[in-house]
Amino acid sequence: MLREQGIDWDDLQSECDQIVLFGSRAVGAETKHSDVDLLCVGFGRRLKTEEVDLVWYTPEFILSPKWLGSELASHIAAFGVWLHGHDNWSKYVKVSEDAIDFKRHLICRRIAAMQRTWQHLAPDYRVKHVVKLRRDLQRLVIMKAGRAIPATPILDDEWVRMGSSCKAFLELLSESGEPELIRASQLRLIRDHLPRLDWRYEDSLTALA
Amino acid sequence: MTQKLKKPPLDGKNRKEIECALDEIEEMDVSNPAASEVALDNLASLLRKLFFADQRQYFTRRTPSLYDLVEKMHKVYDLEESILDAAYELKTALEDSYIETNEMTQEKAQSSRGVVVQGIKNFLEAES
Repeated sequence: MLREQGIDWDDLQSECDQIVLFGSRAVGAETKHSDVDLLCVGFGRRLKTEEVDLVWYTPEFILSPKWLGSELASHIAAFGVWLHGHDNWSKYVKVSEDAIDFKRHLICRRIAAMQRTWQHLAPDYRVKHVVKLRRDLQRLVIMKAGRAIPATPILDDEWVRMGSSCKAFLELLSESGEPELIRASQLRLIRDHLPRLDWRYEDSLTALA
Repeated sequence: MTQKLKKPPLDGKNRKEIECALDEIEEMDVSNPAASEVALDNLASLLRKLFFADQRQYFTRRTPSLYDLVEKMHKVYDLEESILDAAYELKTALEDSYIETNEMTQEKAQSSRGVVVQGIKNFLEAES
């Protein structure tokens, strides 16, 4: 898959102190839509295509409080698979209050933007953002509980186990301890437009097709 | 080779909708990638409806991004290549800011946003 993107594995190794596989493929939870997520510790540039996502950070940044307190670091520290080099940072990871604030901010601003643009968004785009909103709410709950964020397909499976309903969404909101994050009018918007979808992205798109 | 098409005429309502979507992008806070993503998808959703009525012929995946739309408009309607480059820069800057927000990614997002918005305005104003 890397070769198809013009990436030579030997060259990549020579450019990186560490290469860590993360995301769904690191835990064997990939779907046919999953890309290959790699953390590269070195001096390259981000490459994101439908097939691969190479996230580059410098050896200095990877030891910084900003990285060690981040959501992504907490995920990689718990679930990452080191393919090259040695782990010199994962034991220092702890999700920071700043990272939790940022997640909160993402949720509030996404739903506000959805509310402003809702009437022009096609149904498939509405589903996409409702799903992203739900996943971020799940991640917020997990971050606040001090647990590591699992890969997205695991979050989706958990959502299905919760019943994938508006009621489950409200439970999640309650569990976050911040029910004011999403206002009643915003909840109505979601509920009224997506009453029968199970809110798993791919399944929901299939239902719409 | 992609068949070139004539730009479809836009009525006042459609034009107004696109102008509102462009305003939303001009006003979006680029330090918040989630809200920015919604604003970009809002424009993508409108452009797809107006310029690619038979979407399945043009897009292999659902919910194409604004970059996907611009890329296709470049191929099909000769939208300027500089807008395509800017849309790519904007997309990558916003993806980066999900992980780390810094001044460099914000500046990159702001400048490429300007090019995309102005480019689409020029495209809409140009004679078919």
